Amino acid sequence: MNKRVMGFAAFGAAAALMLTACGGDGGEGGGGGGNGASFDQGSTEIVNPSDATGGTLRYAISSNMESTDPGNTYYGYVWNFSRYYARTLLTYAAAPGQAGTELVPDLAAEMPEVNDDGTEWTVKLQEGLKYEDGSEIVAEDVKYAIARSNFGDQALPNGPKYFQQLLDEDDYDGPYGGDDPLEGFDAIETPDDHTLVFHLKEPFADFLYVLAQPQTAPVPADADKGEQYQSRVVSSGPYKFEDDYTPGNGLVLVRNEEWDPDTDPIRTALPDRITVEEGVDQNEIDQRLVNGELDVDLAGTGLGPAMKGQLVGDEDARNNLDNPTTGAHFYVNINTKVEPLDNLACRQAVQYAVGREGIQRAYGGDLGGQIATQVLPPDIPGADPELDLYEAASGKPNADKAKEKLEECGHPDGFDVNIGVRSDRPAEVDAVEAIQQSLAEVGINAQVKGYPSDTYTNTQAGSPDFVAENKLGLTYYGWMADWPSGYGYMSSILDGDAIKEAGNSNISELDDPEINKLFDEVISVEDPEEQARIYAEIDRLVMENAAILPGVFQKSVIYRPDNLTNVFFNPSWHMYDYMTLGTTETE
Amino acid sequence: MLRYILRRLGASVVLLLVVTLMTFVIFYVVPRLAGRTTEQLATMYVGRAPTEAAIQATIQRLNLDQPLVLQFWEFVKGIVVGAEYTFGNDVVQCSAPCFGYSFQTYQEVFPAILDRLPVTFSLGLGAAVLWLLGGVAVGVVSAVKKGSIFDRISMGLALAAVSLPIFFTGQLALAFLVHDWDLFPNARYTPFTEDPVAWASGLMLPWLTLAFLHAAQYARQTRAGMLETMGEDYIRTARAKGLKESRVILKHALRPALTPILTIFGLDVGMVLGGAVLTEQVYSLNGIGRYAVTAIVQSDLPVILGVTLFGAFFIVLCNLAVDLLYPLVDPRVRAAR
Amino acid sequence: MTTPETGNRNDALPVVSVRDLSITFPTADGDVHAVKNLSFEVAQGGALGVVGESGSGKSVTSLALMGLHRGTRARISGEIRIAGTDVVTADDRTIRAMRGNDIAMVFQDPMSSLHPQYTIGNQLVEAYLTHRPGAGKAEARRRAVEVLDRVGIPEPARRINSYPHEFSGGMRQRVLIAMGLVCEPKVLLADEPTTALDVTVQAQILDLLDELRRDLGMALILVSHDLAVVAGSVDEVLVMRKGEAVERGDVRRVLGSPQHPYTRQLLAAVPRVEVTRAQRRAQLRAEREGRPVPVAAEPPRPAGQTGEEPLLVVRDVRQRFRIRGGLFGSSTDFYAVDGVSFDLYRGETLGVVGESGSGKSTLSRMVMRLLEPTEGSIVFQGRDITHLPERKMRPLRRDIQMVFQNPYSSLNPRMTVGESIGAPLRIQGERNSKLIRSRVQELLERVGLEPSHYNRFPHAFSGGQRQRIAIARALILRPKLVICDEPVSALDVSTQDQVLRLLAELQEDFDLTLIFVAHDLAVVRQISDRVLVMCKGKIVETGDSDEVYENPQHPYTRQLLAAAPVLDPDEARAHRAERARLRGGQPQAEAV
Repeated sequence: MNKRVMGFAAFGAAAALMLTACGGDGGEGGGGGGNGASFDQGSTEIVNPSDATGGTLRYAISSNMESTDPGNTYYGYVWNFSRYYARTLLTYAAAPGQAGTELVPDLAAEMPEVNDDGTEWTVKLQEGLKYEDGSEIVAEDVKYAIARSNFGDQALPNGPKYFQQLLDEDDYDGPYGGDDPLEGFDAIETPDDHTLVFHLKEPFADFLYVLAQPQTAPVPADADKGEQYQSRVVSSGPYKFEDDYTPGNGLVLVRNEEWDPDTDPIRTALPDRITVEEGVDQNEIDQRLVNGELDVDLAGTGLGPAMKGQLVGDEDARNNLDNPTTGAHFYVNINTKVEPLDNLACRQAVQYAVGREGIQRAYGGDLGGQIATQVLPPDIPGADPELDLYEAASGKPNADKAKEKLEECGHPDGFDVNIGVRSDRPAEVDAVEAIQQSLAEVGINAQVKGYPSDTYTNTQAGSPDFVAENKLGLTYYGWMADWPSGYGYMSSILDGDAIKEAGNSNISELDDPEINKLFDEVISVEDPEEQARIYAEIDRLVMENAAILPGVFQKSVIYRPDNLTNVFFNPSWHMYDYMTLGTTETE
Repeated sequence: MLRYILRRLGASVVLLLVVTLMTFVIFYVVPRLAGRTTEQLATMYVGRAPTEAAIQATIQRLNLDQPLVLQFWEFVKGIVVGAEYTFGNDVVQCSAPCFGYSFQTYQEVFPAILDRLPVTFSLGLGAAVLWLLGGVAVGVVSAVKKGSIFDRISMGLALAAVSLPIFFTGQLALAFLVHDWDLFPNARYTPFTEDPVAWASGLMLPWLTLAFLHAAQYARQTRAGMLETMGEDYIRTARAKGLKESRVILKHALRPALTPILTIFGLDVGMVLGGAVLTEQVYSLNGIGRYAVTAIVQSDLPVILGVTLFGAFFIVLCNLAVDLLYPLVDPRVRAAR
Repeated sequence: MTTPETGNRNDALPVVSVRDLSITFPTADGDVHAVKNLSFEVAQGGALGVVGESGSGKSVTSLALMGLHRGTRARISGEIRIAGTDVVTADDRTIRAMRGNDIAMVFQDPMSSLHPQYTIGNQLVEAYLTHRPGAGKAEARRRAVEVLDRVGIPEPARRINSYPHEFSGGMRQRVLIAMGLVCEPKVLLADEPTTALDVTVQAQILDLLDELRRDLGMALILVSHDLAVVAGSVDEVLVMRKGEAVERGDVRRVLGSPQHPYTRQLLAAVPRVEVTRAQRRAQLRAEREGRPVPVAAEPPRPAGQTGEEPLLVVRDVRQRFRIRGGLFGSSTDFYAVDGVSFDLYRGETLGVVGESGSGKSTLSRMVMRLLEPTEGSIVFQGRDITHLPERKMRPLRRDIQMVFQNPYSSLNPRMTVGESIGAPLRIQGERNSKLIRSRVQELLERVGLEPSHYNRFPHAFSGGQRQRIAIARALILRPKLVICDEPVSALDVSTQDQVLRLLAELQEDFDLTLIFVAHDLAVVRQISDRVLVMCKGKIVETGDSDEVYENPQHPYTRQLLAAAPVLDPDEARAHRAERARLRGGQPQAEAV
């Protein structure tokens, strides 16, 4: 070919490449709800029900798994996923919607019983349950699991420490370092191989939720290797590790023959094999989901921005998308100690001034978040979306009312305030900038202070001293419940007793005696309806106190491949319930 | 000559020590200069859940309450001799070179680096060969046909390649060549010993993308060097001897032009062996570069240290190799030693 | 002396035949006609000298003979036949087969003409195997050793594995010649082969070329700007000027009784070793005043007889350089100047003659105090300036100035010539720019340039003009002593002559004392009253220039004089024989 022609051809090809990249017609792949599903169906129903077994269920995640050790994890996806090989005392029902927040026994034979004053809980294990090597699962193993994850200087660091806070145990130093690992650990009694008795310091009605956490998965003491245990977790569930797990190399689970399906209320164990690929770029994960090369994004937070933008505009592709609320609430703490916000009227001024639509936009509009007007997210019992003390539901700011309140609190021309945010989270930064703008309209001059996210919750926003020193009157925050109850959601962020020196979550330092009393009351109430009423009351009082500026309830956009069976969104896990999934691609 | 080699080796060792010292200073000393206390330092490095116990454990592990000199000593000793770590009830021996255990994954750092080494090496060396051959070839042809259409297009493309960031070309390549048009398989690392064909086909696209970026530089450099040498007197002599033009170009003109290419090549290979971060990220290859980035984001100190020293080691090694190769390539250098 | 054999003229076809050769280069400023209608022939075994100054087209012609203009923009018309092949019309393949095989070329600069990264053995073998592909490596190597031996490289079997930079300049030129010979070509084309070499080495190479020509029956074309170089080595001479042949014929006739005015001019400009200073002086003065040139020589102006103190006294100066050691690190001392002493009187010209490495340039820099002597003393006008601090030295610098060798690099390209010449005045403290300007313009006129060129940049001038500017710069402070370090070596013969004339005039008018450093014996003779001959940092002979030239005492001086090229072909041959005799007791070439 003539050189000149070749030259032009090359140029033309390059140009075409550029142009089509901008066009973005991603109509290929995943074309339209092949199994008749529709948009957001998985939030309310079980999509594609089936009991066909076989095939390989393929997961992928963009970083490394936080851990595979159920005793050393705080991420929701691991709590969800680890149930493949780690059965807990209790677990959540496998159902969408509020039904999914109910607890059911897993290792336990029946729901636990509590004594009269609420300080003693008794749990009976099912008999004849076995690990992957055929040995029996006994109560001591559960006690050991709780010991290693909660007690002593060498306790596994990553997970929460509820057991340590709640159990009536003062001098147990953990299972490492002595001859008998459980010596001195008296707060949990194991009168026989299948019974556990928990002694609490004080009554705690939500204790059942604590028993659903992965720290109650049994660990045989002689198999334990501390932080290295994650390389080979001894399985009590339907699947076991095929090989040792090395972070970064992915994980393969194969069937555990010792698991008895009749003893298991929630797991379908349909696939023959489960694989997790680690370190796959998020865009790549999204692409493979759409192409049918991948089944689930393990992290469960939904599509990345590129693919999300591409699919939401596509009529056919929308049928494969679910758009649930994740249970995370993004809001602003209005500190009750930093001037002039120690004055209620000033706080209320802030409430009126900020228009939520700016914040919602930062999260991608309607698909990204639902405007919040009170504290509790929708799926939590006691949540009342109608509660709207500051007329925020429209999303628009109320500048006039705000100015009134400013006059009331003695700053008619506004005042200066600092607002803290995690600088490496773009959505949060965008939200804060929108807030800043709204405030500026009424004369409140907010200066943005950015901090790195890995130390924010601990050392900056999470430290009352730091907040006072740097006059962080406002701090942007996100919060998700450890378990789906009002206490689980609100205690750490609103109870005056929960204020800590470091790692503090009650950043507004709200210390209202009435609210504190309600918190103390509700944990000894057993009736769920009564509890819900009290939580709603707390919510209202908090809003009257203007200690929290509700922002948005986050929503995620999750891709639902056609080949997945029994797929639905479980609000307790804030993502698809992994235990029911199967695949139609059976070989 | 021997003295020259020994001198370069000695200099390399000193350089590695200096890098170790500087890494130590950055992570252990500078935060103190910025006003952090021992506690705060430990909190920065402990990982994600900074409970009191964990902070104390970190202070112990990193010897943060000891005088600086001792800290450095322990640091270096750990690398050279190894150390002991306790996990649960087990005491584990971490053999030299010991960079400690990752705060996030509790894996021993050095074996983890070694694990990822074949990926980075395969990616880097494969691309290096491609870009060297490709770049030099294009450069030679461009120089010989200076001013022609080929020359103009290739230099234009070279400019584009150098200017386009690799995460752009990589993403484009992935989107079109892999997903839309199915021309290449998913980028994936298969060990060479397992299946050489799969190894090559899985890495082909990352090789091409990475090579595209670098080849441009080599093409330009070779072209410039060739244009210079082609004007030298000994080229005229070669022609006067009646040699074929191809021989004149390849044997007589290219050889002197390659000397600066060798220098750059050594440096480039050294850097790429330390981890081609962006390429590994775009193609989801589990190499050292990716490991480093994750560690940095997570403040996983032992891994960061390990990867830094590792990368430095390779750059120093490659520089040493280039220094030692020089006298071979250019006899005038030999004489001056 | 009998006429030596000049090859078999009875062979029917000449081995090189050029007819109506025209070469044109298209440039930005229009076409440049480098060669116009050139015709000449060389018989088998014959020798032709092509002489011309820069711009004459001689190099362009020699490249054309090799077909080396192919692929460039040059337009060639006419006919060139080398051993039967028509170079202008033949295809590439034929040309390649011809190059190195029928006609071989030896270039000017031996350092850059050999590939620095391959051994000379490699390059020789390559040359051989290109044209004798059937021969094996072993045979090629043998031939290479053979030919290295033939050109006089000692220990050829061992040296064949050496790299070019491991040889000296003369040896490298021999290697290049060997490379040309390796395929036994019919014609050897040498383009300025000795310009970059010392006098003695030059003589050796010319002798070698002559010897080879006779032994191998090979035709020789010798291209040079130096008539004297050509005189003793060729049968016929072709004089070129601006692309045209102005004169051609037997060498004796052309050099003895030139027909064309240009040839005459050229010959007149060549400095001759046998012309004494006095004669030269007389000639110059006569030309200047418009009188006819007197035949008789005026007695030389006596120097040092007025009884005055010498202007400059140099005693036992040494300049030591430390050379960093090799493997084991001990450094050795190298004395560039090793115990030199001399006196210099006002008004006289001292010539310093020597080859490269003799230390003459170092000596001149020491006198200028650009270098501080390691030992010894330099006394200028009664004042010891050997170790004078720079501050004190500065006012003295008015009195000692220097003119450098390379007119292309000694002028700052970013300063106008007016600024360059005026700079010394400014440095010495003169502030009045009007005054400076007028002085500069005065001097520009004096050296033969237009005062209105004050604001031009050096690149607008030719080499000779630039050297005049450099001289003006040296003279503007009215120094007492001017040191000229090879001021005319880089210039054409006619330009050289002009600049030398200018220097002579200025010396008279400004009452200058000169130290003239050069390697060209003839030039030094013309201009010096006394001569120092230097070799390896020491003075081997000193005295009146006439004395030294006519009765050299030291063997080195004799060797030097024997090596100097002379214009008379017969005399040239006599010298050659003399050299051969002298060589009898010494190795042919210095081993390096």
